[in-house]
Amino acid sequence: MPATGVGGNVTLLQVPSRPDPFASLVLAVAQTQDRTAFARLFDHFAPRVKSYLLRLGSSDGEAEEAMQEVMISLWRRAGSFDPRLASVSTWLFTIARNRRIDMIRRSRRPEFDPDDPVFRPDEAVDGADSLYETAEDARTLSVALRELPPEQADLIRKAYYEDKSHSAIADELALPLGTVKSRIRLALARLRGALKERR
Amino acid sequence: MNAMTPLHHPDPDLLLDYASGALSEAASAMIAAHLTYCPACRAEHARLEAVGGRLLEEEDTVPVHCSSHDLFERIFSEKPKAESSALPALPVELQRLPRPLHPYIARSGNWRSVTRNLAERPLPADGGRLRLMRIRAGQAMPRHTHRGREMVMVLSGGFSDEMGTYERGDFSVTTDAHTHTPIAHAEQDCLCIALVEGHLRLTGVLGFVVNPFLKF
Repeated sequence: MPATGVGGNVTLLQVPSRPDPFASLVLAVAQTQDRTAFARLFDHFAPRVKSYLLRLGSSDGEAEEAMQEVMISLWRRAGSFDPRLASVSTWLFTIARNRRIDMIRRSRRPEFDPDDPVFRPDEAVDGADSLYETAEDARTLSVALRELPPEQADLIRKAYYEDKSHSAIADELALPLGTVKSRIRLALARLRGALKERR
Repeated sequence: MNAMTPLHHPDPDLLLDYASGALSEAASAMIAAHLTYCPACRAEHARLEAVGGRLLEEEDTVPVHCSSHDLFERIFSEKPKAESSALPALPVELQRLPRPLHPYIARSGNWRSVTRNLAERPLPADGGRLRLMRIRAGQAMPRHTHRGREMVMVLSGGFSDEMGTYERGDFSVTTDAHTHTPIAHAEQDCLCIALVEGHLRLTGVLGFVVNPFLKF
């Protein structure tokens, strides 16, 4: 699971009204080592994961290698995927992100540990205020992303896909850092707002 | 001891840089430590990862040079890399600190005295000067300014400065626009983790004495 996975005391259980089709494929891999299911996941995600890695600046060879490692991780860790907490796309995004950090920095991404004795657990929340992503959220986010004004969408993509911090983006675009920050915050507020409205 | 969730949080743009993978190792260690204590920021981080997931879904596709069948050959011929899950041994007084910090503490040097009231323990991580700081109870850190960004998170005890009161889990980010004087609360020493992404210059009466001891 992505690092956002929490321990067993999470009480929010929101069953998506239309389940994520990829989630059932991952569960098939986890439960029965279903190779056909894996092949379908591979066909959909491998080209996208590789594209993500290329965008971040890897060579074709590096991106190909890292993509294979991400897909191997999917196979080996399918049992840890929890469809209540995130979509398969998000899960793979975090695996690809972490793999790239390992590769580039030769050190692992620092992450919180839900088994840490000093970890503060999530508070119980009712179903109407789910903190995590469901299949409906994924569709809502998708629409909201498409409807962002171009200058905001562009910055969001740069932030995720060009391995640039806010200040590096500001330098590249010769914009004040404050402008970059406020556009990204506006974009995130819209995305968050779209999710809240749906509830 | 603070039984409540943190009141002071990293800015949303820091969380985004962490979620996207762009944030330095040192700053990421601090964010991961804050997330250990903060369900609200974890939820925000999860939403930011979900945006990453949507963007991945909407990526163009590029040619790949293997099939899933080829991958199975690799999967079944390779041994998975053994993940070392052994936790490093830490001094007793530092064991209750968030786990993301443990590998850095385990590789750190000893405490060293900067002034009568301030001791530091440098932590090796890329992205700036990361260290544990201990401020003597009731005492002020020397006045300082710095170019670039400074992040401080309280691990035990607390301090107050011109911007507010900070206790365990509280996260403060200041830029060179601020000159600030944190004062540790009177009840106990204040233990923090701090990162400077620029050059720390001590100002005020002690500046000319203390600066030579700070190695950057």
